[in-house]
Amino acid sequence: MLEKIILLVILYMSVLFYDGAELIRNKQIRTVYGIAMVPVLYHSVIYVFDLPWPTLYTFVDFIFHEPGQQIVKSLEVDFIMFLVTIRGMG
Amino acid sequence: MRQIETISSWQLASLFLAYMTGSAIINIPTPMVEAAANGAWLSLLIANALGMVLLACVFYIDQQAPGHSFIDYSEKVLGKWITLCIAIPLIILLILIIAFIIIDIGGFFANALMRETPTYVFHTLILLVAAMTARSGIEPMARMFVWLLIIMVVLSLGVLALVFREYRVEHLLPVMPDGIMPILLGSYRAFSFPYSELILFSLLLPFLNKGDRKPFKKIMFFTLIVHGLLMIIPIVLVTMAYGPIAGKVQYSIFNLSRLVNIRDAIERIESGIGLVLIVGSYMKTSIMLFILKEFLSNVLKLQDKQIIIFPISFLILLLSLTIFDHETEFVDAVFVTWPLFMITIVVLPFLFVTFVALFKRNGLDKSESQ
Repeated sequence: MLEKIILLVILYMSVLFYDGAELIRNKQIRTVYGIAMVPVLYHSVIYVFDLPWPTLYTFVDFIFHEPGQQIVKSLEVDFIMFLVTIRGMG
Repeated sequence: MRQIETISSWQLASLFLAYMTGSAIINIPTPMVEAAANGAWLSLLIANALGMVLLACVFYIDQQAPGHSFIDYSEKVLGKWITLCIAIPLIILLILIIAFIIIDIGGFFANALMRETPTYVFHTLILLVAAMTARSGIEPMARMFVWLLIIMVVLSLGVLALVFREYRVEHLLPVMPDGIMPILLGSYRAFSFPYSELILFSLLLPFLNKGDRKPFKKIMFFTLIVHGLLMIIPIVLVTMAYGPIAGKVQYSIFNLSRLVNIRDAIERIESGIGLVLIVGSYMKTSIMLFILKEFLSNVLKLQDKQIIIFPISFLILLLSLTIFDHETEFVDAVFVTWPLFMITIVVLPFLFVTFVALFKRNGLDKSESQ
């Protein structure tokens, strides 16, 4: 956990050090930057504490995994079974 | 004010080849052979043909609105809100796709090259370099990637040529022992990665030099054919070398390169293939980050586009470290969830915009003839 915190501290400091001057100068950039850092903070907490919280991908997986699996399974059916299914449908 | 960067058609074509071939040259053979066995090359041909159709659609939209991306065109014909409905999922997809590339390269390092080193080291370093490259702009990227691409192609084909003793032509037959379904599964995989990704690349078309628009289409189609060949060659050679177990060998080209031994003088050259994967993934990550930066700053109407790169890269890094607990989850996501996600979020909206463009054009033609 300490290793993860050290990594994050280094990264946060580097990013803010690099973009700091621009952030002080421009209000619009400050706002956008602030909004962009919200998901970064959220995922930092998940990373440090190994939390099972949803990530950006959880939503995608929830919607697409099941139908995706059905498509893959239907393509894995062997050809004779496929023909039988098609004839059965006819 | 910062001048808008432009690149020549050949530079854009080399970026396109780097983007399409990138990590695919190493990652594609195993899943393709696993799905379609000896017919994997046929699957790739089908996917390549579908890629040609998508490229033709890209050019059709480009013809309707020269110098604009399909998102700009969509805003023009479908309105702001529908375009926003297309754009927001696309942003999520772009973020995830970069995270997936990073997870892939981290997994390769952790499994094949440096087993003791924690993966965050690879993830952080490759994203840092890619973010700085994307921040430097499209022109330096185009200039640098030409050379990296040449190194990548020469190294991978050179290593494959050195293992010529291991190839058995008879392993290529029979081509379709289990019928057409495995071939279709292979095509489905190859279409989602990398062919449908060419729609995302079309977001870079506004950067093309105006004077270079004429020969550009032919060059891009030619590049896609070259890309197809660069994909088919490793697939065929891996099948010839490993035969029935080709689909089970992870990073097959990397493992194939371990077999190189010419008179005990040239051996242990697998690091060359490792380099190909690193360079390919780096180029692809950089181009994707650049596309994401452009896209996001257009949606948010940002004055300074560069500023968004580091926070987004930071988010991608954290995603790459937190999304999956095990490698099997990643494999499942790539082969099961991702193809459908890609087709739903990228291909279908793009085809919808193309059809709208087609109907608008027909409507305009009719009104002009009246």
